Amino acid sequence: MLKIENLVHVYPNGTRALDGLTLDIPPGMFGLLGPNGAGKSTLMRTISTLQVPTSGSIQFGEIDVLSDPGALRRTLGYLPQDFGVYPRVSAYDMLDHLAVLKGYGRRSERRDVVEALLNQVNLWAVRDKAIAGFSGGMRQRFGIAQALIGQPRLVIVDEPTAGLDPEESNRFLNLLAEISENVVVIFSTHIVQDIADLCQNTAIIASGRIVRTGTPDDLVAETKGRVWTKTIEKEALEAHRRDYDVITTRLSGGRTVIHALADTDPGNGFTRIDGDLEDVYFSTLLPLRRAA
Amino acid sequence: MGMFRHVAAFEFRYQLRSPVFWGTSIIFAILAYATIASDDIRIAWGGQIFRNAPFSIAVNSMVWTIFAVFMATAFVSTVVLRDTETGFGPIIHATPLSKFNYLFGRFTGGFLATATAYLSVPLGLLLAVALPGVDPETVGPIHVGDYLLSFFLLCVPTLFIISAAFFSLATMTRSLVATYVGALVVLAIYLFTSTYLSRPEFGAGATLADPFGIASIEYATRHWSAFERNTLFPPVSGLLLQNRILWLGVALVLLALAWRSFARGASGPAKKQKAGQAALPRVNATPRQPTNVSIAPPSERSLGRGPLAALTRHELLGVVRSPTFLVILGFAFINSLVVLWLAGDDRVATVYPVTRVMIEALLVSKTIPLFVAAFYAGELVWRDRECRINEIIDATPSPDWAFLLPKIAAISVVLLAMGVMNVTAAIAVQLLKGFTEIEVYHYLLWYLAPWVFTMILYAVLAVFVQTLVPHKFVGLLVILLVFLAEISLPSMGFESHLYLYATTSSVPLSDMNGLGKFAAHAAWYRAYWAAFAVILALLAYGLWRRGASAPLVARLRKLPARLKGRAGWGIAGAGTVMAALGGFIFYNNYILNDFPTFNESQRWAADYEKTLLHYDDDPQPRITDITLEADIYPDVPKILSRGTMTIENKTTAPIANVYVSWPRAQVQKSFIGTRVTPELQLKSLSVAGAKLAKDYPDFNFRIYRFDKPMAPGERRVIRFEALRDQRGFRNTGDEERIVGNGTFVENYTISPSLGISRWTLLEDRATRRKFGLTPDLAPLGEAQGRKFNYIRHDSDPVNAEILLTGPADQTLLAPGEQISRKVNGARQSVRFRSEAPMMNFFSIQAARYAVRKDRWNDVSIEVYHHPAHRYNVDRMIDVSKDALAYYTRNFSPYQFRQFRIVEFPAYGKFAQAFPGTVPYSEAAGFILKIDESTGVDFISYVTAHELAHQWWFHQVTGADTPGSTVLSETLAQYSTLMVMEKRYGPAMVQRFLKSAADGYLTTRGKDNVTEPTLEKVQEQAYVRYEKGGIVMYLLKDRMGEAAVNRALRSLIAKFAFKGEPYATSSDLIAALRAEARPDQQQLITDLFQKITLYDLKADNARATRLSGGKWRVELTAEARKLYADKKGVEREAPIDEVFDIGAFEVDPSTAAFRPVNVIKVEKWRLRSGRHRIAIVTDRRPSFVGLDPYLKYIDRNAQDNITPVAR
Repeated sequence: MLKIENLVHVYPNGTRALDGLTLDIPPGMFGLLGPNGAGKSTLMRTISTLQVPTSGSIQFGEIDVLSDPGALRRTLGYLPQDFGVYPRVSAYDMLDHLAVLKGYGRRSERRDVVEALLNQVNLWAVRDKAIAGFSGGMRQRFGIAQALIGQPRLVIVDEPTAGLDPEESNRFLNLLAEISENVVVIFSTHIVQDIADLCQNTAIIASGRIVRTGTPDDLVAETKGRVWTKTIEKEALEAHRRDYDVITTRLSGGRTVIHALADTDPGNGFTRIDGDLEDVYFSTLLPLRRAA
Repeated sequence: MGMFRHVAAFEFRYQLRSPVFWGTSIIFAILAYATIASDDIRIAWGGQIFRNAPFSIAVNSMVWTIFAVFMATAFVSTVVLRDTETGFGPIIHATPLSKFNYLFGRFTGGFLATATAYLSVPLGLLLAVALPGVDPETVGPIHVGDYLLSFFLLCVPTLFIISAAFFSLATMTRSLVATYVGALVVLAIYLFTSTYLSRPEFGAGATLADPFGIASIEYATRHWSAFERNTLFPPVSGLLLQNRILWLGVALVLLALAWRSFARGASGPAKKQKAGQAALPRVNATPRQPTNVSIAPPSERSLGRGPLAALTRHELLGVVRSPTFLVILGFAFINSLVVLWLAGDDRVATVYPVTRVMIEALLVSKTIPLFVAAFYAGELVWRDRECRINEIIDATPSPDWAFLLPKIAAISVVLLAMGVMNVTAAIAVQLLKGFTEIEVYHYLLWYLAPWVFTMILYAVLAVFVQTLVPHKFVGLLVILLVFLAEISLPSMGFESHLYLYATTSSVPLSDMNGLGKFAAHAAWYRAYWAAFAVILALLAYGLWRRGASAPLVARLRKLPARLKGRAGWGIAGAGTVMAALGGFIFYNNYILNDFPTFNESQRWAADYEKTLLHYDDDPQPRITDITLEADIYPDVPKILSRGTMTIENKTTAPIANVYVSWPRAQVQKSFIGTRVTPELQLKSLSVAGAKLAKDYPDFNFRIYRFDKPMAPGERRVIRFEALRDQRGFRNTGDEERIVGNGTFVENYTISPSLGISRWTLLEDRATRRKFGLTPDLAPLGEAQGRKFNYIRHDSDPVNAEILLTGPADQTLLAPGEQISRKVNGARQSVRFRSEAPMMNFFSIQAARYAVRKDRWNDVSIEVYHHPAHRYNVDRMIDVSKDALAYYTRNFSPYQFRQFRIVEFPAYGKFAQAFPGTVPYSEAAGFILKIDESTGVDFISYVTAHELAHQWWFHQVTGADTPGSTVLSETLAQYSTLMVMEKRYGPAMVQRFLKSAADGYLTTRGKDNVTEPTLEKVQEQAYVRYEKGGIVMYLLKDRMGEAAVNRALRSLIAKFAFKGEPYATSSDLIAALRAEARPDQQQLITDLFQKITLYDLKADNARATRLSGGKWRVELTAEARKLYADKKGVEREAPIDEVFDIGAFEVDPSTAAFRPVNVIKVEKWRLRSGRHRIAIVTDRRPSFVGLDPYLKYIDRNAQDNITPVAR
């Protein structure tokens, strides 16, 4: 559905945010996983026509996104990582305004769309309140409502759950899951669990390149039998980092639980566990971290 | 303290790194430089006052503090707001930095940055005189100390005050917008004090309201002479000190309030958000509806009209819902009410609030609407970004115009609303003043439609600019510079409306002539600029920032691609329309009409003088009889004139050549404003018995050589045919004298004259030097000057026969008796003949008039007026009778059989005395509203003055020597005062003279040339009218009315209708001396032949009761007399003069004073020094005074009156 080829974006200050990125995204939920600064938001903004890349191509179905951004916008829903709202404007009025911008010229059809969406994201009760006073979760639900105006076939959601409490986060992800049939939903995050729960496909991005793609299950299968765990004292961490390919560390009851990657049993008290997507993610990033 | 210093220093360095700081400094330096270096913009210098006079430096460095309001908003308001905006606030607030150090450290840094940036102003002022390029005669010795003094004593306090005000406002409101509004309010306070509260009746106290202190400094120095302005630094004491203390107090209070209101850690918006959140109902995770909610895709692929309305509504609500807008609107409303309430009034006269006056007031006050247009363009263009919703908006499929067009439409609606609000305010003012002749149609057509149109053009420009610039501030600054350029470029000679955005040729308003053809002319420019605005809008569309912010260069690179298709065609179409209209306008302005700019006129006049002035010495014949036929076509507009001039050699020698000249298109600026001379095209010219010997086509000047020189006493005839017309329209100088209804032309503009025209010559010293002429145009000597009257060298009184042909539905008027009238279809011909020889200086008028006729003895008094302007017609007739009675009884008989007052359109604001006829502007009396008890009856004043000219100009005419206008203007002034005194008593005359004294004292320091004595006065209106009136009234008081009138009668007997030799001011002085007693001779010397100022003072008054119920009042009186030289340097002289000593119940300088409050007035002879004086009164006085009615010119008139102690 969405084909991205050899995308390069160099910012005026020389930062190479996208470095020959190539990616093929099928319909359904697609998770884009990557650390801060990996180029996720640049990629999202570029696909959303907000930024013109230095070179490369983006094709969505029949649409050549870079030469005809207008065509993509007509079928695009975009929820940026961070957005504000006009002061003193209610959720209803704001959605109505965006509906106009998305092409709903007639008042009656606009009303239908706005009311349906307000119901769908469960903001009907607060439709006349100013969005400026919404909580983070409500604001994100408003964000997804606006992204869904106009039956988009491509929905881009940039780190939507950052800062949400688990309940709100869950509610939000359910909303996303509901819409993802027959639609490409690109969803970026650095929270691995969200991807594992929701996405049919995922890609890991680092330093402006895609370093892995596949279904979460395939990716997990790649590390099958290669992840080992051990619980150690804090003081021993440095030595373990030096001696093993430590991919994650986590505190548990005052001691440190480490996961390391190894094709064979490293011994020294390590036990084998079933790796999850998080292990895949960090193992992917490991060589890069080493290089840095 | 260390912490404080650190915070302040950090802030200061931070500001210094900002490009805004350097940009602003450079712009201020350039602007300050330009105001001094340019010859055309003269603030506080010019004439006798050096560009770098201490006074000029002081005022000029203060003036820019008004604009520093923007500096303060940029540098100081942001020091606290920055933390809120960037979200860095919580980090700062979590440090142990004390509130005091945080707030005032930041403030100090910001204030120091403002002050440092403002150093550019004195620097610019200094560079203007230090660098070569300006006329060295206009530069005095350079003292760097004056600049430093100005900066530290005058500017820094003001900068502190405005910095503190905006800092406090920003700290308290946490809103940049609020500080903008604050800035607007401060500017409005300034405008209000400088235009309204600066009127003399409000006195010194009112100037304290000016937060910049400029009004106070101007008040304190208003009577300064040129010498004082050049040598003294304005006193930083008294009034100015009070003003500074008052406003510094206000500033400190504001800072204290800011400190109190500042709560650590709280940042405005975040607080609000929490509050809003708490109020929300808790939304439970109710089961949702099935997911397949049917959301149909939009039915239309392109946005039609419906969405435009919806989007405009959205943008509009964004503006209207903000409290800022309500504040601005309310403020604009109050401002309009004030402006409208005062419209047309000046310090001494009030008018009926006719719709024209209301509209003119609204058209002039355009600061706030321009601000609204520029400000909301910035707000709307940047709003999505500032609200951080731009990414969502930009990713929608809406076309770019959907962002642009609704914003322009929303601003237009806002401006329209302001226009409607202004009209409502105007009608409310009219009704409140009890005026019910409201012309709603005029409001729509004369004001609302063109005004809103122009404002929208500015809004489009502002939107375009905001699309280009990287920051809203920069955009506002650019627009401010555009406005400044549009104001100042015309005075530098760049005045074509083809490049001054959104300007049109002027559309003067008149009740008589409506919009005339002027609105139709202006419409071409409007269409031209509208086409350009369309291009701007399309370019803004092409350069619109969508998506991640792209620098201008990148957007420009993409522009060609963006403009492919309809936008490109739109630009091409609008460009074609613009080019076509521009071509048409150019054709009209420069091919059909090549009307000169003011600068071109100056250059031409200099060339004229260099080429032709030497011919002025050659004797020429005089015109003795004229015939003139004028075919008037008001609607074309044109006047075709034919005529003859009979000339006679009145000299004793033969004359070989006759010089004939006729008017050349010219623009001049004088004390009555801009004077436009339209071109006269000479169709034919023949001089009997002479051939053309030399032609100067550029100067409209020809020399004819007689085949046989004209012998003394010989007469010849000159025949001419000429055309004055306008084809198409002009950039400036559209024909305002031949118009549909209200034609008014002078005979010398439609017929040739003999010799060169001295009226075209340059007078201003600086201008003359600039064009390589001697600084002063030498006047004629006494002997040569007495040969001519000062109006026309080529004519003594003439016999005239005038035939006017014009529309049959208008009244056609020329001087003399109407002897025949023939109507031929839509045209009529009316013939007039002079009853007696008259000045070859008369007017022709034509309009649809209503007429009121009356008689005084055998003189017919006729008022021709616009039918709606009947308010003062009876009063004009009544005053004319009084004046005719006084003048005939005391001077001589009236020479004509009619006296006509003829209204003309408000394009000029004056009245003028032609033989038996007074053209009288609709703006100069017909709509005046007279309050006899507290005001001055200006109808009587103007009418009696112009009628007096029938004696003091048309009977006794001054020679062409300095001082001879005393014979016309000063004597007309005296005659008028006598008529007014007889009608209303002395109180009104005293009110009139009080304002005259103030006018004289204020103007003399600012005059372009050195101050002359009354005896030698030339163009100085403040001497011949204002000082002249005071002098004559004082003489009448001292010599007696009968003696003065006897002297004037002797003048008439000697000079009236006699022609050469003409009278001079010395003849008047001699006549007065002949009637004066020996002890009055010195006074005549002091008043006429010297510049004399008096300093009279009364104090220490005490009243004691005498037996018999009387009171003995003692006071100390001190009289000083000062002679000023022409530059204003004063020297005290011994005094021995007679003064009034008066005792009153009410202070006679106050409005509450009535004649019944006078207890006693005695005359006392005083010499120099302090004297203890005692007078006896019947009642106990509350006030006593020396010269209480201000008969002597006294720079400090306040101390003439003193309260009486018990």
